[in-house]
Amino acid sequence: MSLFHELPLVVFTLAVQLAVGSCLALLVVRRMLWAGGEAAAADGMAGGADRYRDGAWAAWSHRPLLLVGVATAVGLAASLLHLGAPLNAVWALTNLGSSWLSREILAGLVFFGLWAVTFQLNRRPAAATRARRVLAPALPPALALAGLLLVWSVAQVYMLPARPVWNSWLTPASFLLTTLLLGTVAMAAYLEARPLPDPVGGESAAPGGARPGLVLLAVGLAAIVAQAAATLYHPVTRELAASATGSALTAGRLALLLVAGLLIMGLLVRPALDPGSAAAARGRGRWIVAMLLLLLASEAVGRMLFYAAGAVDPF
Amino acid sequence: MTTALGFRIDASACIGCRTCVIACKSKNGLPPGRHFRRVVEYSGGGWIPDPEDPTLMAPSGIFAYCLSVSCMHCEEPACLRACPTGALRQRDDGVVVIESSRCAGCRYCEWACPYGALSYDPSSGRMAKCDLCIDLVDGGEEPWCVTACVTRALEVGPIHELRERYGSLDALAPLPPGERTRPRLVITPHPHGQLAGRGTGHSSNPERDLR
Amino acid sequence: MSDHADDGLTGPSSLDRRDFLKWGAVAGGSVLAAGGVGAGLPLLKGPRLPWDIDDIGLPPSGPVPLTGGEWIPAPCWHNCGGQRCLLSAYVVEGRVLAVKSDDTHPDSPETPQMRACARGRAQQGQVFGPDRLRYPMKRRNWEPGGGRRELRGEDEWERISWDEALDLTAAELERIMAEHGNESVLELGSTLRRLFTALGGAVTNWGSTSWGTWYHTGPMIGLGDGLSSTSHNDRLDLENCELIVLWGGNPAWSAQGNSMYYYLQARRAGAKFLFIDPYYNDSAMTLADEWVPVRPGTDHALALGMAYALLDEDDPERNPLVDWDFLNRCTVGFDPDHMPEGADPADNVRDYILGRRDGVPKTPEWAARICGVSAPRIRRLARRIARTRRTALLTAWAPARTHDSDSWPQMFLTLGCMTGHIGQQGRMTGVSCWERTADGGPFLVGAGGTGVPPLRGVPRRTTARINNSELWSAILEGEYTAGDGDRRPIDLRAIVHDGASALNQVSGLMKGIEAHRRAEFVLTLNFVYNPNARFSDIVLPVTTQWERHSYFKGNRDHLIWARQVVEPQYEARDDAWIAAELGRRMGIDFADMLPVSPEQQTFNRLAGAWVVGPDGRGRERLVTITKDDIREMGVEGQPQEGRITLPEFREKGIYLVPRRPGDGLGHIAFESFRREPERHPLSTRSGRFELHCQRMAEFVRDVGFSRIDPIPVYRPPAEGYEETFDDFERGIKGPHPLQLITLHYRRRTHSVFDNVGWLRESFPQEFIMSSVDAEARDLATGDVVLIRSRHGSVLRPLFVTERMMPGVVALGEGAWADVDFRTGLDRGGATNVLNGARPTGQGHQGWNTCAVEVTRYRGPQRLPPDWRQPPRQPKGAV
Repeated sequence: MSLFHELPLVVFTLAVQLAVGSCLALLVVRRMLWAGGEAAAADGMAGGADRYRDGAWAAWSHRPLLLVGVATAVGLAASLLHLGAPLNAVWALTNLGSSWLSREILAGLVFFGLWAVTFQLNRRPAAATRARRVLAPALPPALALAGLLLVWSVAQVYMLPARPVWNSWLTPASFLLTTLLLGTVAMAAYLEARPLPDPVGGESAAPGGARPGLVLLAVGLAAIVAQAAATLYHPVTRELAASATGSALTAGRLALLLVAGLLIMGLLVRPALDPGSAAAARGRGRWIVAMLLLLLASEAVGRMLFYAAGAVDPF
Repeated sequence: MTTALGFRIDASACIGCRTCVIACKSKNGLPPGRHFRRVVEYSGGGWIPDPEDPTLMAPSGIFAYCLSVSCMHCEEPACLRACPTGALRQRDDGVVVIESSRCAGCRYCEWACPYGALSYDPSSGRMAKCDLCIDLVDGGEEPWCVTACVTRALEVGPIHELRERYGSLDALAPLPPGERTRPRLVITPHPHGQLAGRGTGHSSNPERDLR
Repeated sequence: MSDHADDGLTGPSSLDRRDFLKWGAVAGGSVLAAGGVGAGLPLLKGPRLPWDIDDIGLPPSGPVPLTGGEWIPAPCWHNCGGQRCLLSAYVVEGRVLAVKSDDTHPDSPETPQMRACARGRAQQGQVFGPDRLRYPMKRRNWEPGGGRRELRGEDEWERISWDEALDLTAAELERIMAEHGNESVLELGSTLRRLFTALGGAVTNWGSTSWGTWYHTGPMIGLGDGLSSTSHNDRLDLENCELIVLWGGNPAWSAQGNSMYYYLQARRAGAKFLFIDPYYNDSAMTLADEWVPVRPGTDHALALGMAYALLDEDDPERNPLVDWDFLNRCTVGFDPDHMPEGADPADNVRDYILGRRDGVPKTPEWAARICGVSAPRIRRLARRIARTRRTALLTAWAPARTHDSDSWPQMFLTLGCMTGHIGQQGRMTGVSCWERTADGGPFLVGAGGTGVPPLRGVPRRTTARINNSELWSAILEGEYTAGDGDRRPIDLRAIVHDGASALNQVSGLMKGIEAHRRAEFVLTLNFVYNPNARFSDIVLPVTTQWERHSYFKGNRDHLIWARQVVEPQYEARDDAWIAAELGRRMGIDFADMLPVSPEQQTFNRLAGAWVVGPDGRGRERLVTITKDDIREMGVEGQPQEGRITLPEFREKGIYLVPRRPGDGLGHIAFESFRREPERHPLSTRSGRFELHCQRMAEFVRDVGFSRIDPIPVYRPPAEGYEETFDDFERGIKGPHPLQLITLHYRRRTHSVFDNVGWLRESFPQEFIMSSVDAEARDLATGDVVLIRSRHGSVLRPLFVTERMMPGVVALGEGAWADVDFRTGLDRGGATNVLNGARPTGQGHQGWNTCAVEVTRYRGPQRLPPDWRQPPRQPKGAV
């Protein structure tokens, strides 16, 4: 079994999925921020809240967006390392008509481009131009959509009839689940480190009555459970069952998912018992970061096994 | 494309000796670990208590056969569809060739090909594959795998002629069914040949299984 | 997918990149196959990849440019069992860039191209391989008298000059012979034979190897041994067969080249094939209509069961199964009425089969218990062979390569005589294997002699010859068997490996290592660092045939003349030159050692080359030689007329006798004998086939290892099926319950080629086990297993297949032993570690009788695939 042969692709797919997942999570957070804002607007504070909200969002989301950009850049750079003749990557968009790899690269470039625009606008929230006002609300959903298309096209690359071990609907499903669980947990961790500002400038930490972190963790937990199920049924797992190393690593990966899932459940239950002090929030933050590392490890192992099982001679 | 070339393999005569494999390596300068052509072994059956003497074991339906496999120069090559850079192309005579100067070495064609025909060359960072020895074929000679075969089980020629002469069977287990990429291949089946995708045996190559 | 083969986790980690580069650097002008340019970032691609191993025996990776050079005939020279194939090497500036097969004439089934196998096509990996011996070497801790002998096999090496090497060798051989006599030097090859003859002789070895018991028994009972004389019809007559029985043979592996093509012609002509073999081998895969698995070493019992069935069911009127006419006219010993002179009529074969002689009828039921074929099937088998009129009853040597099998060829002959499948179209009985596979009969073309006169008049100072199975015990225990009840002391001090590969290729390898560490002096002449060289004190590098003046090879209907392909590599020299130089230092006249120049020898062989006349009568000169040719070669001789001009022969490298059915060149073995046995007697004592052969019984008795009967009595072989039991009668298995057979393996010709990367990759020296036995031991393909016999232990990767008979395991013979001296385990898979030296019968090697046990290996040794292991090179000097 060649666990490390496709390391650049393991990095590429995981980094891109982390980036896209973070965009999706950001969209949820933003939606909740805005929902809180609308409640405030109903109280007659509309205009000022809008401006405040934009500024607060821009400041809060700066680092997550930076993470998205860095992860995407790392991913794209790693994908170049996979190439034997990276200079010839300039031809990579010439076969969009039939090659999912061409499409994947296009989707990656579009995503990265949209991110660049988003990030750029976000850096100067005060320069409220007309264009920006039109673009600002549209960009996060557009970025998330481009991200989904990217994850989709990455998955489609592996939907090859010649590779029955990959050629299953569980492949795009598990790629999407990796996206969700990494993104949600990463953003939940950030939320603990830097709570969302009150939509109307007050101190309330729970706009709309629901703490966004808990919502993200709940989604993440669901993704973890689904991912575990997908792992059990994926043809890759069946293929590796005969190999002691393969089945041991699969079991290890499932164990990591299990531990992460249990931690999340603990966190979901605890806030009800312990309405957070600053110290408690810091503690939670550490737990969530630990969880994120567990999940990264789990998905990295899973991805290595994915390539080890599929990138073999057909007979 | 009536002039398209293809292979015929006589599975009933292939003894699995790997001479074609080594001849191909010699012609194409392929070090150990790389190949454009290889021999696929397929076997099955098992042992049962001898119905005539329960103290003994008797073979039950034990069979084996070999197929010499390289690029099939398919009518619908999966590698061509997969290649992002357009480095792979098909000549008028059906031969799938790779334009090295355009290949980025992404190895996607290697994954897409159901015959394992593409080989990554780490010294150039690019893919390489069987070109049907077109340098020889264009000069009226035959590919080295063909002239190497000690049982004369390999043949190359215009595929329509081969199909007229030897029929249209283009797959046997463990090869994938031919409809996927429409390989330019005609197989004369081994008496124990099993249909692609419905074989009861398993592929069993020592050199692959013990790699 | 297998765990041990995890290339992500294991690999040749003991070697770092520098070692590989070093190997490349010393290759002198060779081009490294692997490169880092444009190869991405290796660090990020994980551990070493296979192509990081620079196989410098190969041209640079990428299509080989076939321009600027020339094709030179470069056939194989090995003892390969092949059909003597033709190859051409494409030579550019002294380097061989590619090797192709015979294309000197259009291919047809009657006159086929002599196409070579994978080994021949990989020849360049051997001549230019990284483990080529380059310079004369001396073992670091050797000194005259032996030095630190126990370090042989592990010691470092020092490169020395030819002068020093020859001086040291001559002085040490002279010293030992002076102090202990000629009988203290054991010569285990032949390339210095002329030198030792001039010195008064040295001790040599004897004993049948590949032939098994066919070597002596075959000719004594009236059949050919299968190589120097054959008993089967020619290849075109095979097409007249209705049934071809291949008993214990796998020509697809052991007789490569065209032999399977010949059998396929017979199949196309309608012949059915019946295989009797423990392994559903690749020949059976291709040809068999029926496969009868039989336990190793029990073929004799199976044949007895069949013979009983024939006698039992034979009815001359209603069910004629036995050819009494043939038995009565052409054989002696079958029944009391047809005994040879002086034989006891009670000692007849029929009564032995029926049990009247020993009270045990050799019924199919009796046989089934031994051979593993059910009694009803034995009966059907007998009927099928007897009732099919045109049957070829063919065997290979393998079933005779078993202990105590001296009577097996006679039993095989008995079956052939009972069924009368001898001496007619499509009917034959005998050995069809090795280079004579599927093509019997005398040669139709051949080369002349070299003109080198034999050395005469030198008094012999020793006549001692030691059986192969006693070589090592003779050194260790100082005693050997010289005849019946005749054990003699011997004091062997020097071992000379002038060619061959005795340490690796004779039973009892572990003892052999011990013996090598006991000797005072071990000398090896070879072109690769094989086990002989590894356990030596002085190693002299010799040229391969590609680097020599020329040589001739052939088979029944073709003759190959190979000229020099490349210059001698590094400092390699011809054996003849080495012999002459050693002789000069030991007081032998140079002219005695090299009396005829290589050029003149070549000319003599060409001038004397002959080809059969039209219709198979007489002989004609083969080569047309002109005055210009003679002048050009710089030799002495007369012009002559022949069938092919010398320049054409040189260019093509081959002359083939064109064949077609009915051309008068065919051969039906024993045809005239069968017609008129009185007028055309055989060369046996009685002039008939001897089913009772007193000479054979006497011969075996005189050899001194065991006794046999003059008729084919089954004797349970040493380490045979019966010995896999603690209690055979009660069916209680012992500590070595499996039977090992040792196969001619496609990677090698015996031990030659074991070092070639392409072949190591294609043929991984797998240990083959039946799926039934693997399941019982919870083993799977890819597991590293420990194989233990009474004599040694071997590690190998397991290959499980349903094609192997349960109870039988197999390993290819000839892999270079790679013994780890801490654990005593051989990692290379050398079968002679498992095969013990047990001389029986006529002193043949009983390689296919060996009892073993197989378990999963749980120790510390890693076993990466052979082709990823570093080349075998002398430590300290390359």
